[in-house]
Amino acid sequence: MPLWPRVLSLWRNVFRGEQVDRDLDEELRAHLDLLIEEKVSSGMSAAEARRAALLEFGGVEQTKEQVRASRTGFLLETMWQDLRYGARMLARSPGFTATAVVSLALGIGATTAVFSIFDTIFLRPLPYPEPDRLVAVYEIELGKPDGSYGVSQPNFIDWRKQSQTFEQLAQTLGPTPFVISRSEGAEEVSAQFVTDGYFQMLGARACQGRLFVADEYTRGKTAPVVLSYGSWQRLFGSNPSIIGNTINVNGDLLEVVGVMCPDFHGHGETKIGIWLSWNWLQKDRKVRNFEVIGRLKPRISTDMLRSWPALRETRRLSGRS
Amino acid sequence: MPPDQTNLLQGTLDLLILKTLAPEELHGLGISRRIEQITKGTFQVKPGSLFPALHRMEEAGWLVSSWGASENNRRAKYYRLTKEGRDRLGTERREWERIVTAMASALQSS
Repeated sequence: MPLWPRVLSLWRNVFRGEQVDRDLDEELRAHLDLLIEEKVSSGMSAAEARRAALLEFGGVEQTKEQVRASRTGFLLETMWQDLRYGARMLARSPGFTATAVVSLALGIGATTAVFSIFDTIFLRPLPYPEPDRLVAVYEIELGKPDGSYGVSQPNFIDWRKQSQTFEQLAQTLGPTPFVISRSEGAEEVSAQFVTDGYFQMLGARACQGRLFVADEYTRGKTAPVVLSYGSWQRLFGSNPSIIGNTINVNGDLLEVVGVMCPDFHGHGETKIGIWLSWNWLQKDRKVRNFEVIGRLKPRISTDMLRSWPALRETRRLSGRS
Repeated sequence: MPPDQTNLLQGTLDLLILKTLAPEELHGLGISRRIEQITKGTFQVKPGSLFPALHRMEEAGWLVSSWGASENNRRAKYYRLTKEGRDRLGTERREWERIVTAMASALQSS
């Protein structure tokens, strides 16, 4: 069946419906007139002829309905009628309409909110390469499986040397609010201490300068700092010559070694503004206030980890978008 | 409807309308009367079936309609076949003959 006539008919039926209906009215009236005329010329009286013609014709309105139903776009037309009817009924009872609209709005809003949270936490993968290999690592006291603690710095250093399980391990502290002072004034940012390898483990890259290196905290010179792209833009006007210069953080002068690319804001809930590296060592193994993130070696599962006595408690990092 | 009149099968009505309009253009009542005539009164097409069919066939592009004057100078809407309508008549006629042949041989077999 050719498409073009159909399209034309649809156009006519939907947008020029009244004219099409008037035309049909006229056609059916003409048909009835011809029928009457035929009866009259076969010898009937005018009244008789009219009665007979109407009888033969059947229901005029019914015929119109049947023609309408056979047209292209009939469904569209009735749907439009239903919509208009619905709108009229709603307009007639504003109380009911308001209640319905508010219920729907609250329902949809609540569902969306719950789903957004669910999506972020459970469905959306962490924005890092191979996120299922990333785990958070805790210390536990042997014989007390209920409590878990952070990791002390000496333990972390030992693990990093000895571990057969992790491809990479990184230690973090914070986030904590730090103040950056410039000639224009002071500004508070979220700061996080991280060890070298932290950025590489999460697949984060520096867009300016470099990331932290291995001997950062044994160098004993000016402590290095890495800026987030946002901080670099906001606090230092995206000035590329900031690399290698010192900035005032909490009253100390630190050397800016790098600026992260715009897509990296840290691994937790808080958007991090600057990252710092240790240039000191907390030698006490009982000071367990550091977080450790690890990337598992291939072929090591979290189940296997649980059987390693010193590192029984592991869980996935909480996700964020 | 008198009992000796056959109900029109869906599809045969299209064929009959196309056949009726093949030689000349006709208005609705003309088509109805011509069908009665050529089927010797077996088929009487009521407006309730005729007009939906005419409008459907017009939308399909087989017929075109235009307003004109009847034999007695009354206004009436006339239908005539398009090129597609003529092609369709050929197709429907062949299809019908196929059905008739098939039905005939089915009924003759024992």
